[in-house]
Amino acid sequence: MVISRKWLTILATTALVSGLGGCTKNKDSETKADGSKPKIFNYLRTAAHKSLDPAKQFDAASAQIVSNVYDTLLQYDYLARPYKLVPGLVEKMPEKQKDGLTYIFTLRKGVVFHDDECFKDKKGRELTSDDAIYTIKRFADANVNVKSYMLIAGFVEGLDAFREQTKKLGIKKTDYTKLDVTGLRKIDNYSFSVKFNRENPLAFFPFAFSGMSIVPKEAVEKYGDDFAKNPVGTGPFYIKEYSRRGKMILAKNTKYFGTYPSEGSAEDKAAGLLADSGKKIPFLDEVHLPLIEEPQPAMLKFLKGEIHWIGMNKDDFSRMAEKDKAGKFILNAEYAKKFNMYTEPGLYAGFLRFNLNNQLVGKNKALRQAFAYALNTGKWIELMRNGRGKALKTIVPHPIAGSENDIDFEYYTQNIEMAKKKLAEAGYPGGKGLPVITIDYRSSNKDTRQDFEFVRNELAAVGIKVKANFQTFSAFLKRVESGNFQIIDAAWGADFPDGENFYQLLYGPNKIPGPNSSNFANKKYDELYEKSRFMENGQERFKLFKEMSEIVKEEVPLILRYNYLGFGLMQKNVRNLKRNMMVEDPYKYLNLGPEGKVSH
Amino acid sequence: MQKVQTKKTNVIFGESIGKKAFRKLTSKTSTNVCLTIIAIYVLITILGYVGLLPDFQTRVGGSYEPPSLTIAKILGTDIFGRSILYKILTGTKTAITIGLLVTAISVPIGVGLGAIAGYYGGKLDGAITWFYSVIISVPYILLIMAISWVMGKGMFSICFAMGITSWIGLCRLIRGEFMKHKNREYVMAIKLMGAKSPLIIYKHILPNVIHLAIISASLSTLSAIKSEVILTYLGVGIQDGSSWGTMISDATGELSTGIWWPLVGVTIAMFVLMYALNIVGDALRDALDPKIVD
Repeated sequence: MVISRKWLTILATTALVSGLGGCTKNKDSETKADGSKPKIFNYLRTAAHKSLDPAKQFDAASAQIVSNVYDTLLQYDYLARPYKLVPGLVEKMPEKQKDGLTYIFTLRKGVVFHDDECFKDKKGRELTSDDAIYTIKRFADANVNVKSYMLIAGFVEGLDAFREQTKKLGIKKTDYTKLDVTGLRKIDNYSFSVKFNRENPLAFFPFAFSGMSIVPKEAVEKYGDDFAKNPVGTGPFYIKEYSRRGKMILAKNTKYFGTYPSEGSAEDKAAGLLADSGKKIPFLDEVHLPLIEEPQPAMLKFLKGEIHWIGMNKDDFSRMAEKDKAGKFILNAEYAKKFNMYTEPGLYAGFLRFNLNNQLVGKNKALRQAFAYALNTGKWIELMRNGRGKALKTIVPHPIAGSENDIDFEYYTQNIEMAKKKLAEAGYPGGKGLPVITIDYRSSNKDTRQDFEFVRNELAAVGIKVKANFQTFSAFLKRVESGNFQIIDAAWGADFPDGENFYQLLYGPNKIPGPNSSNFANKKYDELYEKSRFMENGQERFKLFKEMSEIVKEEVPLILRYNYLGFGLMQKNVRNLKRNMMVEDPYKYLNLGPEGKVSH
Repeated sequence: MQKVQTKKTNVIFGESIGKKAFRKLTSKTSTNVCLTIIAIYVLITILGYVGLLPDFQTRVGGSYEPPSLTIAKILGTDIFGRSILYKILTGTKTAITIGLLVTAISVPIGVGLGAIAGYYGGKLDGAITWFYSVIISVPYILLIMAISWVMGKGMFSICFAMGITSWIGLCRLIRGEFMKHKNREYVMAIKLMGAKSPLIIYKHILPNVIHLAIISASLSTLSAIKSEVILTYLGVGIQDGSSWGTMISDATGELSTGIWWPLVGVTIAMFVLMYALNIVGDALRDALDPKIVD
């Protein structure tokens, strides 16, 4: 077909005009009904989500969306430290009944789901206790949730049996209306009871986990497998634009029930974090979340003012921040004028784990102790992490109750003489006869490689030779699961802020494929763990923690390293941002001030 | 034998091909300089293997010291206070070893398969052509990465991976040359005299096309060194901090914090070797290609 020049000119002109129209009409800058400009928070996603079905997601990228589109029955207090649970979809914390095991959950009235085609007339209906029971059952359904059930396993009466039944029946034959959970009872439309197997201070944590966000049965049934792409929640935002590998846009749920916390510390008040106390949330009209996987372009965008908030990696930190004379981390003068910086300790323990089933390192305690004496963790934090972290003395990170802040305990510090002595005691004086030991790492990036070089140099000073096996995270996990390793560079982030979640990492029955990848089996330790597991925090429990820490120090199934200090930058006009490690994506609390302009 | 030399053309009558090539190769100052540079790099490699290079793991100063006028710190220090110069020297050993090893693997494969395909033709040619077409259809870096993941990391698996994937260009060249040569009079004459095919390939045609392999070897060395740097940068190559790729990978973050000397040092070392290999490669072509006359 031949197109004449005349027609080409017309087509080109039309395209140009329509293109210009597209450029001039910026939907982000449209004014709202009251004449004000919408508050648009620009942030990013560093990875594409796996699934937006709460029960099927267990990754940070999915939780970033799920936690803002859905709500949980309980939630973490945004400002309080140490972290504590507060009511979410329930109007008050669950009430304990006379038997000491049953709790009544009472839902807020008037909470409605987002408008969606799955509902009658496409209007979101009110949340009821049937939704909560349905969600708990769905969370326990072995056909739906394969990853995170262990968070509640053994807690609720009859729930484990229910899960077994779903496993036997399969997805097609499972019908929640016919499968009873003895510990779950509907009382009325707004309340239900949960009976736990024992008194358990950990019992409520699963109810704040994003995987147990309350979902409506209608949406699950209407969308089937596509429910993962069509979330319908009660959350502060709904998905305005869905693009897994592009830009996701969350828009404000104007019917949201929540309010900004009205209590906080004096520091919170001084930092202006209580300026919006008690006000209806969310404050933001939209949250824009483009996928930017590489840290460098993300930082460039932040520096250009195109995104409001960003985490800082080691190189960014070296360039932009420093420690002042008092040892406080501050931004350089150049960046302090433009941005604000926050720091917040992580809920994380990093360590080197020995495989106690390995014939060399597993059967030689003195050798493991030589490793522990040889390493200078403080120096490693200074050099490799710009000092952004704290050496651990116990396995519990500092912000969690039961950490070294609560128990008087000393861990290994570098002592070359003792390291050499222990090496000789292990049968390898000066390292003679000791084979090269392999450390497995979970990535092959520059920082990991340099971490290894640091460790290698420290160990070489006492005569221990090591080599590294750098691999992808999935290859690393396979290797760990196979139990075929000598030492691994490992870490654990808190599922919930309790010491139990860290001490279970060395509990005998949790050995591989469980989280005890050291395969540590110590009868005394296991007894102490079992005794402390369901205790309330307090001196009695902390005493048991200390005894367990002493065993860990003596037996060295792992060498404790550090808990990181999280750093991030925000534009000057960002309000209410207090880094909360249990509320990773707190968009519903954030606000934007007038000063500073972020382009779109 | 009497040698007659004319000034105008630099031709020496009665001179052997090898001598003629050597004379042409060394006739230019720039080529001689480049040959000397390569010799220095090779010498550094040999010194590395006999343990005469300084240990790059030794700490010679503080973290990230800029260049200063002492030998160890002339190119500054890295994050651990190790000498950048010593790291570059150790990286030289790695680079040259990889270049030579890869060439040693790829050139024989390329020449061997190219000669067989070109001389015998028919189904054998079809099979070899199909084989290299399949290999070349997979992106080079991805193929090497896949082989490295299977074989494990480390210098020798990287060399093997690069060696078995980088022979195709030479194989095509040699195949084409053999196809041309097998119908020439001198080959016909030898056939009529009853010579067997392997002898014809090895004794008669190969000497006439081997210059292509020599030129290709110089370029293959260069390409292998570059590939190692890229693979290490991508996290697949040498991982123990003693390669140029590792140094460049480390330097990406350092550069943004104003620490320029590790990158500058390694880039210069790499540039000088690449440049020298390129010049020598061109000079080899000029010296060995019979189509290029004085």
